[in-house]
Amino acid sequence: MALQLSRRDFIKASAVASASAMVLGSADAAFAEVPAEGDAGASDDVKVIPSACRQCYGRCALFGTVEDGRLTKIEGNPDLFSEGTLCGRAFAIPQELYNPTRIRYPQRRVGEKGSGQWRRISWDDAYAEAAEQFKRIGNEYGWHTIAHQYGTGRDMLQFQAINKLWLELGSTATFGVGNLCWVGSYFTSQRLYGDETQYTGWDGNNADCILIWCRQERSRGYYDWLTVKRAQERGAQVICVDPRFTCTASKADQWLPIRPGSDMALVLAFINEIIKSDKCDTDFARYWTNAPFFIDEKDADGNGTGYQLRQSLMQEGGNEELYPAWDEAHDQLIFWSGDWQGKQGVGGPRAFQWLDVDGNIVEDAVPALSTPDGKGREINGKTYRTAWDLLVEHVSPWTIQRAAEFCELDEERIAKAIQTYIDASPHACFTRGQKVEFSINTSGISQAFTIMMALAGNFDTKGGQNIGREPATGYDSFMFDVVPNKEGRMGALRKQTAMNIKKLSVCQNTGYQPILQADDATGELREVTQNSGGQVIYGQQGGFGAVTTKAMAKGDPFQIHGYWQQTSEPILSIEGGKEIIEGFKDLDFFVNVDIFMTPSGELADIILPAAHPNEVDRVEWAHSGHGYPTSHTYLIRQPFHEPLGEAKDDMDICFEFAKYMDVDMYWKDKYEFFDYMVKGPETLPPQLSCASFEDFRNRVSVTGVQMTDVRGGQPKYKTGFMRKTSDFRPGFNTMYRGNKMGSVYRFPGTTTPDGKVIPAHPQSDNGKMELWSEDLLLYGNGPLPMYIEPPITKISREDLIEEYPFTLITGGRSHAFFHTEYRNSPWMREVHMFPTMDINPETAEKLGIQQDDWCWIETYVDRIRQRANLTNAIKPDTIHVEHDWWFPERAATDDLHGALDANCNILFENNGPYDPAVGTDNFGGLCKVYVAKEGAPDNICMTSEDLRVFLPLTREQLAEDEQAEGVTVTTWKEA
Amino acid sequence: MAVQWPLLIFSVLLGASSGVLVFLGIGEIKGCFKRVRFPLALIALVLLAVGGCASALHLGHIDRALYILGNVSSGLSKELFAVGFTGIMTLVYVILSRKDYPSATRVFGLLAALGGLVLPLVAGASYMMPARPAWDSIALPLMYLGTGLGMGFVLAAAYVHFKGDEADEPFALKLALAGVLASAVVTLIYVVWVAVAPYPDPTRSLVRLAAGDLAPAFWLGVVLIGVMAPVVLMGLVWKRGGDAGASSKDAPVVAAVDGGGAAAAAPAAAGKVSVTTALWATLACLVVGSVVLRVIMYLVATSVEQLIY
Amino acid sequence: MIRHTMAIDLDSCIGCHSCAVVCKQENNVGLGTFYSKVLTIGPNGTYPDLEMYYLPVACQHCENPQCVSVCPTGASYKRDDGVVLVDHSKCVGCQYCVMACPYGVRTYDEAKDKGVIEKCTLCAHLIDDGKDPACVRHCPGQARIFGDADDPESKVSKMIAAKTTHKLTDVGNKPSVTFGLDKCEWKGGE
Repeated sequence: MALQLSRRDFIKASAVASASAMVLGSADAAFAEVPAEGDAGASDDVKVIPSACRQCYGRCALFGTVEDGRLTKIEGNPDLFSEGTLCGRAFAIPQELYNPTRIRYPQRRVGEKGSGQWRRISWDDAYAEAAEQFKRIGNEYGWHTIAHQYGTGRDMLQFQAINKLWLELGSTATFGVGNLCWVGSYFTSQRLYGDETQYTGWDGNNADCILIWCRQERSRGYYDWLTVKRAQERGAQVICVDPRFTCTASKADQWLPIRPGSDMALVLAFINEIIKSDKCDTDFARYWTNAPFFIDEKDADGNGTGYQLRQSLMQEGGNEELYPAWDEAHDQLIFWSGDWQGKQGVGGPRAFQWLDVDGNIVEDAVPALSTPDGKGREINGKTYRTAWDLLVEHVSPWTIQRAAEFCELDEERIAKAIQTYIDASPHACFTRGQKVEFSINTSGISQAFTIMMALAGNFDTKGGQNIGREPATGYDSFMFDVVPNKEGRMGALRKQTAMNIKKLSVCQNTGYQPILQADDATGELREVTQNSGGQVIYGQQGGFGAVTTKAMAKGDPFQIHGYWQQTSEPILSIEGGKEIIEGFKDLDFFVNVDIFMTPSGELADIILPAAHPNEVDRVEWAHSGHGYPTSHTYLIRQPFHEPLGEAKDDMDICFEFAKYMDVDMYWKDKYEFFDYMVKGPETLPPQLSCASFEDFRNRVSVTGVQMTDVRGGQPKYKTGFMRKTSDFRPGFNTMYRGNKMGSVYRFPGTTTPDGKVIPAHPQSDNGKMELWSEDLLLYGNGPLPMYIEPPITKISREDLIEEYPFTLITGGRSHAFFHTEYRNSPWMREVHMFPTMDINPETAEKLGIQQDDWCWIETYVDRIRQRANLTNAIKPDTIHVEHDWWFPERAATDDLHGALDANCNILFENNGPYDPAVGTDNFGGLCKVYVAKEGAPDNICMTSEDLRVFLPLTREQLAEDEQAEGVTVTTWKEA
Repeated sequence: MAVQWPLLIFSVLLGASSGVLVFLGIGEIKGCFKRVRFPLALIALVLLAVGGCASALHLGHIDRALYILGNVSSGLSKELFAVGFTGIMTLVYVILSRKDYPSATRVFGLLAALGGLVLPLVAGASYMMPARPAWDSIALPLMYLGTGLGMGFVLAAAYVHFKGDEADEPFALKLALAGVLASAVVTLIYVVWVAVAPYPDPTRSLVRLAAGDLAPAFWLGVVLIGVMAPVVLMGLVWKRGGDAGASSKDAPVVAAVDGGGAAAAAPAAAGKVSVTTALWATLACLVVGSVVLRVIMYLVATSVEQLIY
Repeated sequence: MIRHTMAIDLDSCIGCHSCAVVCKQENNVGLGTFYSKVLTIGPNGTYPDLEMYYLPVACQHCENPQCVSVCPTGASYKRDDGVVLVDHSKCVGCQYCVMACPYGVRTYDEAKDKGVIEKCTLCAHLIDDGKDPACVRHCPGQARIFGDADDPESKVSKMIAAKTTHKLTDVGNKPSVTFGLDKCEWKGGE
């Protein structure tokens, strides 16, 4: 195949490239030498190949030493952002490549589901059977009854290929994965100002304060710690907010041990104090956000739309792209024109300008943030308040004192942290971990963080938040789908599905849900009903873990019949794993594409062998990362050798299967897109543009320039660089706002389950950052970030406390693993052998639990076993358990490789409530803990010696076993 | 630290061997034990050889055993020298003891006895390491020597009663008593050392011996069987021997051995045992005591800072 | 005279075990054996005023190494540059050095090269080539500093001079590895 030939060519090319790089002195000359040790002493065939790590989101730069076609050594590349450092997981790459549990040939299941009985088949047969089955299901039941799924962290490019293939086929349902832990902030940032900021883009290099919210230094992209550490050495203050005394907390200057799930109260107190301080960036609020806009509030009689006021809402025949405000400079009514597309007659030079009532530009307008006393201003006989008025009214009661109560924190600690952040602003940056995200209020909390950063004046400042990742070449992975859609190459099936999404989405029965919300004025919690908007994720046409589970297992709202899963393991990573197993068993047809045999893979009909990330070509970039240069760098991830056996690149599998399914992928193959991506737009400075992917390969990496440097240190929103519409107007990118595609209820005219008809509403693509968010209002979260008590806490479920007295938190990151990965790596398991429960020694003593005792952790839903670690890092009333544990050493017939023993996600139900916008569920609760008399789960590796079953296969062993009867997963008992 | 069984067996056997050699050396000086010197010397040689083989099992590379002379200042090299010297002297002594070269036999008997005195000290000294406070004292080599004398003397005395000249029996009995007392004293000294060793830590404390996880082994194995039972047994033998005016190997001994403690002295139930049997029983108690004491010696040998394993 | 030494900045160490794992790759260390391990010290104190640090431990390359003095064969030896090594071709596997080491950082590894003692070599094969040990080179916190203790201008000497430093418990063996710790209280012996 041409593809494989080109790979071979490149390996030669890369050897030359790395050699020349060494001549130039840009790489460590040592790598060219044959290592002193190793079995290939006599071999001349030694290559040192620059590539990238895909063992977490960090994408550290590394070199692989390949001897006679086998990877023998991993070393850090000192020339790029990771500075030559590598964490332990990188060294597990060879153990993954040659792992005994690896799938190397396509397989068809021959026994019962979960029997572990497989026979090797050819790729042609696999594709043909899959195509026939999926076409049958699509034609018989409808294409929406086929779900598809991708996992986290593989890479964004293969996500694009998977997503495109299945969206074109009309599939709507996915379990999602990012919506557990990232999409909330991504989605919210996109809607509020058009790019992401909260995980990446923080400029620790220049910050005087770094506020780290529930994030571990050693979970992903460890090089971030170098930035934090250097900032501290420079004198910057580091504040850590985390219920646990983590590594980050131990390094921080201040630690706020917050009550799990109460984060919103603390952020609101931050915002309140910032607004009260003289550091509040009112200019930013006035000129760059929608704070001065009037809001058409709903009154007690139900009059008013509840949206931002438009001229069209004030007067008959008014313009819906004109947003009224009050001009303090001239005491007059003015209008912001959002008509950048020139569709409403106030575009062209008038777009993104303040206009007077006659439509003339008011150059020196000073839009008023507040109305007199915040009580409203009368216009045309009606009184309107501004977005700012509402925000101030909303946050004012959230004092430090109230936050201290809600968060179980010391007032002084809070006050000191807030003051530190305010003092350092506008050179204060903020970053967060996923844990704040595992909440039914994930979108709201992300909005609150946005308001905090904005009003502290930290956007696009030195040491603040560098808004958005700035792709080195101007194009990022999303162009994979954007380009064909722009050219009108969206398939008919996809279009039809999008138009009928309200009937075809699995989200259609998520509607109204009871939540416990805090009343702003009194701080009292009260039960209210939240209108869930319909979970549009990523432009995915609806779908998240719980609803897709219900559709598969219960046929609600319709039965899912077919399923294509790639690089994912929902049984472990989604709540309600047992119900997911039920659902998988009910499927008519299930194709799994993966590197290893996994619990859900055992329930598939066909397994396709995916290449390891270090066996394929990719354009790669850090998914973690502080400011420059990390967030501005593309680097090559290229294979150390051909995929083992008949394994194939995930992207190639999508392209090949697309042909069987008659899907137009637009791009001929992945290389055509890579070429396009690394070439970048015409406007790209020539030194950043690569002639082709091969050119990029030779360059190893490209680092872009900081947009703020391009125009005299001006923030991007002032220079037009925020805009993704190529109009370069000052302002924000707001094109993702409003309902473009996919949501269930929000289409004007849609009837909700209770019979209400969604009224027409205008879009708000007006270039302003939204503090008061019309988008989140439409999704059901509400326009301002509300405090919501998580559904299972001591406060919300007093009835459970007696039996389940401890607060249970889950999912703290482990430095030995990446979600479900590396449980089959001997070195990683050796470093962290067992699923571990953190418990305070005081609590343990009361319960008679000793260090290393296996314990049951039980919620009202289910129970799991993990091993006790007694530590003061956790409060006496709180228990932490690790996530995504399974035991690949156990057989398929042994509880699907031990998928249920220690898997914390089975401890939670999947019946909602969910975050209205992105469907995130709740992953914390109440539990009891007691010693497991049974001890450890059966048949698991207990010693380092037991782990030998996972040691890499030798060349000979690989050659001998062509997996004619499936993947021989050796359980340690058999071994 | 885990119990190193090959080394433990070696140290018990070399102790017994040394005690026998010293016993015979005293005999050479006193001019007695002629009738038993060949079999006893042979027994000593066999014990030493078996012990040496046991210790070799501890090595990863037996093939490189001679490398052990590579660093003569190390304790282990000295130990090997001492074993070699003692072994050769004993071998010569064994050969000569069947011949009639009285002065030569005597010289080698004394040299072997010298080896028997030095070897336990050298072997014990090789354990004196600052990293392991419970070992880092002269108390340890003394313990090796004293318990060796106990076992060796009692073994030899029993053999004298079994096959030797009746005339030698009283003196042999005296030596056996002295050996038992030496063994008891050095055991006490070693326990005191464990209690007072520097860098105190619960893992190497008197509390652990008296009331911790080692208490059963300590009270039963060391105190009762290793010290009290031999002393009581020897006391009774001595008393009986004194009453009879002359000891007789067939004379019954009233052994008011304390109840369940000395299992080895089970014949107590019968009320009477012969002196010979009492001596063998004493030996058994001493061996058990020595083994248990050494087990404890390994278990309390925690490092000042055991950080990895 | 060069005196090679390692200093570890515990304020920079994030306890990620990278050193433990890269060491396995570089030195072909078998399952169950670690030349280097990382301990968590703490959290100590009264909640929420806690302190915690991580302590990476490997051979301390002592100035007066007990392992060398007890070694009967001379297989354990100290080089002129201060690095303590084991010559596997001479080692009889008597394990006296394992007993003599105060830190438990020597392993008797039957699995690999049957019957010899293994331990951190400071990556002698790399440093003799002018490179840093693998753990130093890859440390995500850049907490490990290697160099010449006799050169006051070396990075390692400067780090030692700049920080509050500690050594592991010294029973006369004089450990050479230095630990820098300013942020919290050292919990080890001195």
